[in-house]
Amino acid sequence: MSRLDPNDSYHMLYWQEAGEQLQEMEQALLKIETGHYDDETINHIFRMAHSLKGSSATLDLKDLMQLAHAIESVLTCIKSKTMMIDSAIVTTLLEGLDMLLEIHRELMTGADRMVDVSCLAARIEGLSKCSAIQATQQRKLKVVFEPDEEMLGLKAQIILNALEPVTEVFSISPAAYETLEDEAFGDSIEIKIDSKTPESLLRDVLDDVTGISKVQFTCAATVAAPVTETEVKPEMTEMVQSPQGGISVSVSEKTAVKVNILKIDQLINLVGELIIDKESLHSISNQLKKAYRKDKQVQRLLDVCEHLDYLGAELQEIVLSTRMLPLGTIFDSLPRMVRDLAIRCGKQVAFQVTGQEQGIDRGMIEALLDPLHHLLRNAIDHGIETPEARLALGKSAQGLLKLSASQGDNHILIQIEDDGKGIEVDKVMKKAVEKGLIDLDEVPYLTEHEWLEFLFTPGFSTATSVSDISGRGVGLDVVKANINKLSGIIDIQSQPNKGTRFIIKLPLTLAIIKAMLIKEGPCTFAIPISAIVEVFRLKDAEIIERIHSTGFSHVLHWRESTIPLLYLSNFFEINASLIEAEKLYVVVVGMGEKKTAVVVERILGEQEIVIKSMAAYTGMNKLLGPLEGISGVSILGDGGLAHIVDVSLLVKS
Amino acid sequence: MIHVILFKIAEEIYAIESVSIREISRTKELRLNVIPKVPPYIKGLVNLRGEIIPVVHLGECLGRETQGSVLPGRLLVVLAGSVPYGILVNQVLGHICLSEKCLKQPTDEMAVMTPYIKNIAHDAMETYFIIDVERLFQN
Repeated sequence: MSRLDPNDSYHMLYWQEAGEQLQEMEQALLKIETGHYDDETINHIFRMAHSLKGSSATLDLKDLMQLAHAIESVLTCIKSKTMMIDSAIVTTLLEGLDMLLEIHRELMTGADRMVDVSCLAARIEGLSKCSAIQATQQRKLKVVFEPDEEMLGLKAQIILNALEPVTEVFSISPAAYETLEDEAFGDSIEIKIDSKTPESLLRDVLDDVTGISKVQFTCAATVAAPVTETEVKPEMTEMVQSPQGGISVSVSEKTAVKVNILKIDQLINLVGELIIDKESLHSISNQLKKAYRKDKQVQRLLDVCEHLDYLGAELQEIVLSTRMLPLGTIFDSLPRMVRDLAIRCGKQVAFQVTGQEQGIDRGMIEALLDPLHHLLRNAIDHGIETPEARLALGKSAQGLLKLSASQGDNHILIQIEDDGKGIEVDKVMKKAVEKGLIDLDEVPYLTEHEWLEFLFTPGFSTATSVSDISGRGVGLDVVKANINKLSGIIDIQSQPNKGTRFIIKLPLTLAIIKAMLIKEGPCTFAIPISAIVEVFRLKDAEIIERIHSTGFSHVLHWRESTIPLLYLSNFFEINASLIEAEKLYVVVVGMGEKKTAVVVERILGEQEIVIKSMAAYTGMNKLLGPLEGISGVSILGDGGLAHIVDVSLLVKS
Repeated sequence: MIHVILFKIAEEIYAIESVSIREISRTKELRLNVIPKVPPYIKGLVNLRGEIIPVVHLGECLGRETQGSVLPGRLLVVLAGSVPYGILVNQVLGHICLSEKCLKQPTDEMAVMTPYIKNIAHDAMETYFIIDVERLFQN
């Protein structure tokens, strides 16, 4: 059968297990290639291949069985140390694995297999035979069939069965005799056997087999043993996993259940509301404590509230984690792609991945795959130079490509960095003028950063040649569009000959953060606590002393230095009557080195809030427009909403 | 046959296909949270059972005269491209079925002045302007 039945639980179990086994085999093969492996790794792949062969056999899936068998044979030789691994062998094995993966996918779609796996299987099996270390005396035996003989594959098997007890069979041509059709067979088969076996014995044995017209022997020839196997070297790619380790998806999937994502969303909403009510209960009980300090019931209430706090926190963490997936789920497939691509481009690339454990909303993870692929492709194809070019520049022959993920207060940072040739700003300048994207007289006023932004324009490319791998490198505008769709932003940094870095910033759509609530006119704002440096009040004289205005902008004397000051009401264009007030509340916020003082109308207090993204409504062509300064919205205990302030924008202006 | 919900904005009657309408509710106890720096016809965000939806004053959106700061009485939650949006209207009148024959495309001048009108329908007594919510919210 060529298709699995989705309603048959045994079929589905097989399909899932097979998928996992194939993934593990791929990871292990890549590990082997880089030299980071031991006997257990080999045993592991062998077990996977063996298991796959067995289970495929029970479902009569011949193609899978054949390929798994071929891989198993090679692994047997490797296991018993009669064969050494080199990069070429791994490449062939990976080819076999790719074919297995393809067939595996097709099992669900039921697409008809047009390609014959026998050739690939034969090639894989050939690996084990060619690299046999022992010197042998081999001899060719040609068996010609009767002209009308049918079921030649079966006949060949019978011949082999007959020969097995009396001689050693090294190979048979055609190798895929088992599944080959009669027409494709030709009129004979050639078998390489041990030349020490006497001819008469062979003829006797073959006499018993019907349908043979002739048996021919060629002279014995000594086959020299190819002992020169290249030792395993970390040739093409090197993988360094982060010390914390990634979350092993295969382990967690074995005890997984399938749940409708909508149900998870409902759960998350409910838990969010529970947290909010918990906060209210907390504040109410605190009030009661003040008023009825000695009351036993109030004491009990407080105890229950404390336990509720703990329960709420646990629930929240677990439920959110169901919606979040570790980035490792997409990062894991990248080393293979990088390796294959580096080989294709003739470049040597060391690929470092960190931050696989960083969680990201399930809905975003699919959308990230394309942009990441694209940026990595660009880095390998256009960024990193050939080994010769690098050596000539005094760099190491192997280029470094780093992919990292980390979390900020309300965003996730993903960075792709290479130490290649960087982006030539002169070329960008020329191209931009050429395309009429900028006037000549504006040229001297642009910063280098602004020039790099041009790379994101559709159709812009400074690559001199078109390669089929990443086109002209024009995809950057598509990458930017995809990132924008996720409400993220992308930035480039580059230095000629030093390298290029792409920084992707994505909003954390799901998070519970501690924030300071601010009242400003009719609106309530929330500033993430992680961004707040200090909060204080200025009275009368202090206001005049410490705040100075220069035209449209204000500054504040703060801790021995001067920092910019802005009025939140001005920033958000809300009517507020603070300017003449006698006391002002100031919140100093900071991002790294930069700090800004923000004057607010009223401070409501600190609270844990659930961030809800407004991504569906914000953006260039959406209802709310870009909504600068607000990174999300949160539901408060009383059902009201607070706008979460995008501190990075406050600090920039 | 299309099924539409009829409602009033100022004194004019408009319609929206009922497949696009998710729910209708009163605005009396509605809590609108103002959004800073957005066009004036966006009245704010509303917390609808845990879901946050932006609310638009349809009268102002269409450039009709409005009754000052009084909130229109009804909220329609519509789906445009499967994303929910809120529309404030004065009164919901009911629903009718209109046959395809009664539907007319708006004239070119109309299309320019009010691009959100999908169709115009006539029956014996009234003329209804059917609003294109997809167009309205995906400008």
